[in-house]
Amino acid sequence: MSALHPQQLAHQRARRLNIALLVWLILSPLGFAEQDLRLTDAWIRYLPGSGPMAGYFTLSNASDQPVSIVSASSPAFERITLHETVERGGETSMQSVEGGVTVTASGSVTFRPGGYHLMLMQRQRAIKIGDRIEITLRFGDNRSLTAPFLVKASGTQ
Amino acid sequence: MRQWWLAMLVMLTVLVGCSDEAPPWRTKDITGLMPRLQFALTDEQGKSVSAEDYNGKVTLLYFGYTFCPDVCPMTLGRLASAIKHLDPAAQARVQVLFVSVDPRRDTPTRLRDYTAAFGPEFVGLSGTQEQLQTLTKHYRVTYGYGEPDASGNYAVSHSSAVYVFDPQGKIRLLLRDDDSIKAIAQDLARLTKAS
Repeated sequence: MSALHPQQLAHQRARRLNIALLVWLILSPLGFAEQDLRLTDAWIRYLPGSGPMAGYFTLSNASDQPVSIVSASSPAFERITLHETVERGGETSMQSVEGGVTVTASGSVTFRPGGYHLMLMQRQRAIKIGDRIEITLRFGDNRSLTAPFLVKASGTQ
Repeated sequence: MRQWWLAMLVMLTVLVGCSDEAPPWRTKDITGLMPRLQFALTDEQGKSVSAEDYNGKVTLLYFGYTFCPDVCPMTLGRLASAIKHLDPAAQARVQVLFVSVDPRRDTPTRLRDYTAAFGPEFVGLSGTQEQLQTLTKHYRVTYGYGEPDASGNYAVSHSSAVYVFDPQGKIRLLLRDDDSIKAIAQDLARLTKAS
């Protein structure tokens, strides 16, 4: 069999990658999993300009050990921190979460508006509604889980 | 004698029937508890504006900042949802004034782009610290700046309530995070019909 031309090889590889991505996206309603950890309903609230945006998701832990979300990263943002919105006496503020967010054994945690959220800072490229942005969550036991977060309109409830 | 009793009965019935008990508001009624809408600020075009420029519509006043990715857009999103529940004529009689308590970062242009993401009824206003403090003292609103991090980012804490004024600029309602969108929409619909 004659060797494939380099261009044809690159083409073939691109096609394979596209198919893999398509399969990944089709299976995404099932959640993104890492052993007993499953990440679902991952989304980002779009805001115009260059300020931070918020990322939300549900993480389920089917194992018999608690797991801690300690950090997050993404090629699309320079820095991501774990934050919590706190209301005290009618005044609201956002605080950095020290020590990570623990998901109990056979439990789940939801990062949602008004509660825990990923603070996504310094976007590295233009982002628009409908984009799927890869974010990696890192856990206390050094495991990690990467999933696409869907960018939704600013007023999304 | 019997005619007198009959007349009394009729009068009482009429009086009871006419008792004008307005249904309770779904959100918190604070009529008369705060001063009328009053401020001197800068609008999204960089123009100086006062409360009089916003007379004639039901006005929702909310304090926040655009570098807030969670609670401010969540609140504005809830207001946008409530407004969408109204019929188009009522929607045209509602405006949301988003007053930035972060004038250092929130320029008029930035505010314009931000409020556009929530709807045409949303207007961003900014001001000097002096103008902001006059306004926030009036409505007993507090705000404060957090420590900047290594990159200079800082959070701003602020009151989470939304103040609702009627088209004449009188304070009427207080909206809180636990008010349902339906309750907010019902009260807004009622206020737009009131005048």
